[in-house]
Amino acid sequence: MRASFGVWICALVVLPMLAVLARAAQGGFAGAWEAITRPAAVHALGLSFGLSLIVVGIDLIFGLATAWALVRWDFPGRRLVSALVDLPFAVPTLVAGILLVVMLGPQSTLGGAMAGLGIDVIYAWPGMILALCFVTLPFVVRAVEPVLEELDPAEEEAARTLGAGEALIVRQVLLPPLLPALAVGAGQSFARAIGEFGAMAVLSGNVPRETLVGSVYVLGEVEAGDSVEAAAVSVVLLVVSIIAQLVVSQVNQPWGQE
Amino acid sequence: MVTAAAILWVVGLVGVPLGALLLAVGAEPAQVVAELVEQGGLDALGRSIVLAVFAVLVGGVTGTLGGLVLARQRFWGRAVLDVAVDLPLAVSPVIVGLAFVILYGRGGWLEPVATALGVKVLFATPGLFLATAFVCLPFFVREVALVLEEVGTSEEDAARTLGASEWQVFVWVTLPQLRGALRVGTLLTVARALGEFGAVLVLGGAIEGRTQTATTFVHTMMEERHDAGAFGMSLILAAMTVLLVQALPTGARTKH
Amino acid sequence: MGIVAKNLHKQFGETQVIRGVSLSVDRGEMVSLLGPSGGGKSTVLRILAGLERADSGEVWLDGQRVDHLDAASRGVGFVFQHYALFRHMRVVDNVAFGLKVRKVNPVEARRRAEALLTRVGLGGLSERWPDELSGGQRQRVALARALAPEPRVLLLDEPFGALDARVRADLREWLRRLHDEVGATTVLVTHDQEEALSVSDRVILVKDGLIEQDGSPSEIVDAPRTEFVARFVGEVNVVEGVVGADGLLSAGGLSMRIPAGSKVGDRLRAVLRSHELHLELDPRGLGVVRRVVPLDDRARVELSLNGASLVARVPRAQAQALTIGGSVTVALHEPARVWAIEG
Repeated sequence: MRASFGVWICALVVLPMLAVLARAAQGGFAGAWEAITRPAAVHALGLSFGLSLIVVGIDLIFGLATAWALVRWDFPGRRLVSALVDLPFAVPTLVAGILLVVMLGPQSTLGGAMAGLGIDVIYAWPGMILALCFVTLPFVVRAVEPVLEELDPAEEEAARTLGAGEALIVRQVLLPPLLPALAVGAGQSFARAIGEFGAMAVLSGNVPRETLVGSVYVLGEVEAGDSVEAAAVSVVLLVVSIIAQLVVSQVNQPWGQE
Repeated sequence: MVTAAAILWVVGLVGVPLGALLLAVGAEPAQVVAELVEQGGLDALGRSIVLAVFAVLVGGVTGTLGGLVLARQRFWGRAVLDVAVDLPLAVSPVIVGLAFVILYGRGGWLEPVATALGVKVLFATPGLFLATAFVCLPFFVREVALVLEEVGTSEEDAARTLGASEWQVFVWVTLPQLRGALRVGTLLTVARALGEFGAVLVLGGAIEGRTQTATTFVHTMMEERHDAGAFGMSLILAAMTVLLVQALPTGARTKH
Repeated sequence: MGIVAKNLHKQFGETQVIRGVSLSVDRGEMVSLLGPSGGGKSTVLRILAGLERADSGEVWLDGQRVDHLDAASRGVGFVFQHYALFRHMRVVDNVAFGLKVRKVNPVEARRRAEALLTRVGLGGLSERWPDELSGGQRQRVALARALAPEPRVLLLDEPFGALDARVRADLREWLRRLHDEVGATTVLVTHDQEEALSVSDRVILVKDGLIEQDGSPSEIVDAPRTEFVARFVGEVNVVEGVVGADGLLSAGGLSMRIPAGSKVGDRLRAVLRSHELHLELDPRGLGVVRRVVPLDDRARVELSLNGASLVARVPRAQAQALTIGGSVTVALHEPARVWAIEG
């Protein structure tokens, strides 16, 4: 049983990943280094990295606020908002890109108006950030929500009766239990954003050294037949997202069960 | 204040674009239908559905097996399997495609095997199957393992002491316990399989009538300036996946 | 012999859980394995059932060696602490499961399951789901399920551990009556000495993977072989002292006879059971009453004597005469049984 499952996982996951590593290492370390330090590659990787960091920052702020609103307030339409938060889990990311193109593209009313003001959204950084926010929207919200639900308001009340001010309550009572959940949400968002492809492919415009992100750069190299270059850049993206994923699983099991 | 900002953010980011798509499709329905039919959209959608069904079958069987192995057995190398199962969640779809291109392409490790078996993987249906199986791998395994760890082994032990063989224990006790997990695994797998884009684009090449899927159809339509077809297929995909996610029990959605 | 186990050993990782346990249970006998949690008693039971495999040792059921058989082929009935009912089956299907596995025809299986349910007092509940029953009802279903295939032995692993005190006591008596009717060879694992003493023909005390004592309830209560057994089966006072020139042990302000073989100057520890202390109102007495807790027909009196704290159980009538802070003399009941255990 375990042997057949092991073989299946090796054939489906481990072997392909090793193949990428092997291909990246084909030209030796120097070759791989040369591949990932080409100016276009550096720009694409840097862009992916930078955008992901910005998006994680936005996610943390709005994700915490959204979770707070969903848990602590009963407003009309709460269930609808909750359902909207889940949608990006299911909606294909390519479709997410299309959605934003429809809403903010040059032909749309909104996009036209903004273009008139000299603001490019689609095929530019603002649109890319919005798209990444869309696809990563649920992670922080859903990571934080259960923790907020379990937080007993009595703890805040206790702190208040002990004379603590609001700032102190947030810092000392609310934040500490939320930190692991925020870290999990941030890690998941980052891993998703750094590898995001579908939404970027339709909405970034893919201009090298301007709006071309790492994953789309990899596609370009594959289509150009340069699999060594593609593999080298992939390894960088892989390592970063796997580290983010490991951070998530470490925080999820802080006491190292097993 | 916080509430208002949060609601505005969510509605503005997700709700309004969905509404915009509906309006865009509603503005020229005839054009949308025409492009979907003429450009091979129905064929692409059919292929995506076949892929999703395949992913459920393969994932259901291997995932139940894998969940049992990970939840019930302790052995050397288990930790590696455990990490490997989650890997598809972290790997960019394009890299998935690239990995299989390297593995089965010219000079790839498994190229001789595929040739010997007479199977063409790249830019052909087997490639689509591989890509879909890869990206959907974690869902069944994780759901099954989680439930098995929660329910423990006492019901299975009880069945054993009552004289049930291992096969009877599996069919009459373990499988019924997994009903919910298999349902959730199915929904997540279908949603993911329908929505997969990067890996099937790289591996399949989006060849009309052969490897075009619903998502690569949208991409092709965008590049060929057939916006109506792209929007129409996007709406179909969005509607299907939204329905799928609504069918999930709350709490099961987070584990993507 | 119903059950024979010879020299069982079992190790989990680095921990020796069972370190040489041998026991035998007569056909139709009801025996309790009693001891603190983590002492290995449940593991012994699971080895008997075939749910665990012993590292070494033998298990015989009805004269047949069964070490090589898995749980499914041993013909044992097993009842789990947390019921382990099949959640996705109705009550009647739970009970009929062992018959279904044995290919009994469904109509017959159902008839027998219904009959068993009636027997355990759950006649009307056969179409319910397990989660619609109370804890006590669930455990009775589990028992009916274990009895349905007519097992050669019945093994119960802390069957009442998850129930509240009242239900426990009722079920305990009911179990004994059922055992007397059915007559199945039964082993009951429990950490509750009252439960073990009140239902079983024989009690085996297990501690740290070894048997401390194996005997009838009255032997266990009246002639505990070790300090551990004495402390485990009752409310006791443990006092230490030195054997004096008069040949008596003085400990905790009391004098008591010593076992043969002790000599003057030995340091000994005595275990005095609370109901063996006798209190008498006496203004010059050395004991001081600290607290009186009324129980049923007796009262629990906490007192201090020469700096030591003692617990006594006395009749309620006598306790009513006591006042907090009042003085009493403390003596051992005659004929007092005092065991001194070298410490």
